[in-house]
Amino acid sequence: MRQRLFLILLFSFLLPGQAWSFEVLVLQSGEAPPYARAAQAFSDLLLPALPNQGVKSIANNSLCTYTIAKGEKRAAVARLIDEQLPDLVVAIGKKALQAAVSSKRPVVYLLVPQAQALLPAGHQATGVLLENSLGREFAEIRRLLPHLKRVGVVYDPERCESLVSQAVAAQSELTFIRRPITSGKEVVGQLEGLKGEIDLLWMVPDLTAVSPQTEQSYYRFSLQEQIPLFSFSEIHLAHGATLATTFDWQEMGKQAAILALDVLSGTAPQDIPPLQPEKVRIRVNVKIAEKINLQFAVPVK
Amino acid sequence: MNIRALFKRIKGSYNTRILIVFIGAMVVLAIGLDLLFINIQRKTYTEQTRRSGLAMARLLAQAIQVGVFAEMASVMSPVVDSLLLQEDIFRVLVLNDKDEVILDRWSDKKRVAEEDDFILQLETVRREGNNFLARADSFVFWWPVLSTVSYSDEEEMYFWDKEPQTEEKKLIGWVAISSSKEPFEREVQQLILRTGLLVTAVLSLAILCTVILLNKMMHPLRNLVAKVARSGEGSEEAFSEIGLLDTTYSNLLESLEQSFATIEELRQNLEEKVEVRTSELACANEDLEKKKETLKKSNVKLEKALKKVQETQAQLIHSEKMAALGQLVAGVAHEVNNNINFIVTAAPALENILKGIRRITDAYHEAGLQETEQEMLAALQRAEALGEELGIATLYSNIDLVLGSIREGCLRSVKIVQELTLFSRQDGDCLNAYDINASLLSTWKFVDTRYKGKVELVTELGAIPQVLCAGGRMSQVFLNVMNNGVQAIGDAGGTLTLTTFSDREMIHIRFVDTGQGIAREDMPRIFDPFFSTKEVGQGTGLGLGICYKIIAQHQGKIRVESAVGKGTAITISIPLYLDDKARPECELILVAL
Repeated sequence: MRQRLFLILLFSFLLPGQAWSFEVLVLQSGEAPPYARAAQAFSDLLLPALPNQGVKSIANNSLCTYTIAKGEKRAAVARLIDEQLPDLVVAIGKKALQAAVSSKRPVVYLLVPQAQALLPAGHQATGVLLENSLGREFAEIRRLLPHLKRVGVVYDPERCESLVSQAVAAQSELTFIRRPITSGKEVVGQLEGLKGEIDLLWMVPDLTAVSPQTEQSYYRFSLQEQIPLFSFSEIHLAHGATLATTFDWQEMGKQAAILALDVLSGTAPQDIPPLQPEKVRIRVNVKIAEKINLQFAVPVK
Repeated sequence: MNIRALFKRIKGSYNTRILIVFIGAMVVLAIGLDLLFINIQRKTYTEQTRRSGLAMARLLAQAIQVGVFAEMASVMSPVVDSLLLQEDIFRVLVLNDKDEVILDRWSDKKRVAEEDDFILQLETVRREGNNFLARADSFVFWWPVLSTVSYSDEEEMYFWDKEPQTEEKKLIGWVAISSSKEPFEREVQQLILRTGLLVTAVLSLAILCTVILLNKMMHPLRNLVAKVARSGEGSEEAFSEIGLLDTTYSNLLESLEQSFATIEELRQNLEEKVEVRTSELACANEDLEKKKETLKKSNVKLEKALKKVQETQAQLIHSEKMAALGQLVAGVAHEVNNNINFIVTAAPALENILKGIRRITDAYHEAGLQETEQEMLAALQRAEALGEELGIATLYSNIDLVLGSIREGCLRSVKIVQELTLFSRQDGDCLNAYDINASLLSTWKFVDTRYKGKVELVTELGAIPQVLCAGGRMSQVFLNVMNNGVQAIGDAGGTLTLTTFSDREMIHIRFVDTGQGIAREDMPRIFDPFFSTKEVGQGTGLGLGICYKIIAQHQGKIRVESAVGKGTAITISIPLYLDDKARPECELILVAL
């Protein structure tokens, strides 16, 4: 009888790895402050909420963070993931997601621009989208600027056609004056053509239309024409944009932690729909707003 | 005056020759410095022009960055046109990264017809890495138009401020600013003119000052020459300044030679004196050597004497020890003897009592051996009669008395031995908490018995804390002081008062005797080793010296007050806490009243 009991216990300890504690790998694309904030919020919520199971109580659940160095090849990071075999990879940023999906581990992503476009067929990933609902964003802007009618946008159709189309579809009250380009050199000329035609200039996350060379043209256009510039990133507020979409990085980290708990509890990632940021917030550069004599319908904090 | 006479006069005049040389040197120097200064100024001005021109080109490149990137002349025109308003700038040329002209503006239409070799210029700039070209009638300032490298992906647009990327730049075009050389050349000519005028003015002033200064400086010389000329032979005209100076110099040279001869003579005398002094010093040195030898011998003698003294001292210390031991043994013997007397006296009495008891016991024993009852009764009656005769009750009570006396004697002896052990314990330098009051009382028992009986001991012992000290050594001090006290009282009798008290830092033990006191002249020497006022053989004179040494080891103080015929008071003070770092010194205060 004792011998049988011993064998049962021995067998239970020799169960495959899944029976032991969870290993979560947090993969960061770089050292940008938003990444760090989101990662911290993620671990703060996940670790206390992640229960021990069976013999896992012998070893605690572990959470490792790895930051991809500049110039580090994607294959090297994927190899690292394969060697570590974590139960879950949390990819923060585009590079991290690209490396994570090349391995066959479950992935939760966040802070990845246009993440859905990066996912290969048969992926095991879910996450928190970086894009707000354009309808909600423009609704918020219209709440601030009720007289807004015409929105100008310079974009590369190959990159942002769907994005602009979504906005057009979501906001039928607004007229979108589109200026398609194929090269960054065309931005200045296209902006010249928008003079007197629009009430708001929309800067889209388009690598062709937005670059360090062209950003100045947007800011100068905004100041010269007294037209507010609406950007997709709050970084541009400091340089001359009037309005920008902002995200609560910590809140996004918490959303990712909830998704991670679902994945670790056994739900297939591909079966969990990605989440959108819970809150839509528009930040205003008040100084620029004053310079261009912009009046808001509601008080701006 | 003809030229030859003038030349002769100049040749003969020292003043004129110096003046001519000075002025010539100043003119040459001024011209040289002027040329050097003009050259330096020209280079500096050229450098300034280069720097300001290149700064202007750099600013232009930055300002039209967007226009160059977009290759839109309209974007660049406002900046370029404002630049062309500057007088000396006549052309601004902007090229793209393929060296194609995207903007070419002229302010001076006349120059448009000039040979346009900007491609060659750009090749020179690239080859030599020098953006500044100095042409025949113009300067050209080239500067590359750089732009920050584009974002590599969307992440950078969202999360990275572009500041960290500023180091990575990409060439997107060139700007060239052509500036006329006319203002530069005009400025240089003005510079030469101004410098020439300035140098001429300064040179004239310097020559004037030199003439005046030289005239002033040469005035005494001219006076001298005039005097020499007047005192010499011939008329004044016959002497030139140089000739006179030559003669004067020759005379001075002769005087100097005479002086040197005198100095040589003095030097020889000095050497002789040095020789004499040297021989005297040698004699003195010999004397010193002799004295040194004598001193060495004296030193050897003194060392021997010292060794002898040390041996004597050791013997005397031994004698003192033996004397102290003898005194101690005498005290102990006296006390032990008193106690043995109890036993010795009791022993015969006890023997008699035991004899009487044995007789009565024998009588009863004999009665028990009788065969008949009558005989037994008769024997018992005899035994009882004997008991009554000898007083059996008295005998038993006497036994108790005698045994009590013996017990008392034994107890006292035990106590004496215990106190003797306490007194003679060799504590060395081992410090222990010590009860001074108890030590004083136990030490009194060992005081010289010859005088102790005539001395009344008065104790006024205060409540003092225990003190950290070498107890045995401290007892030795107390015994020495008490012995001195009772010996000073002597046969006349008197009192020895022991008082103890303490303050925050020290414990004080005061011994006051009503003895003969210490003579004023003896007072300073009482702690000197071997000093004694006692008769020969009565003391070694080491007692108080030993006391001093022991109290010094305890960092204490001794105060002695004495009046001849009235007595002596010795106060010993011991600190409550010893300072480990303090030197073993005893503060000694002697007061002769």
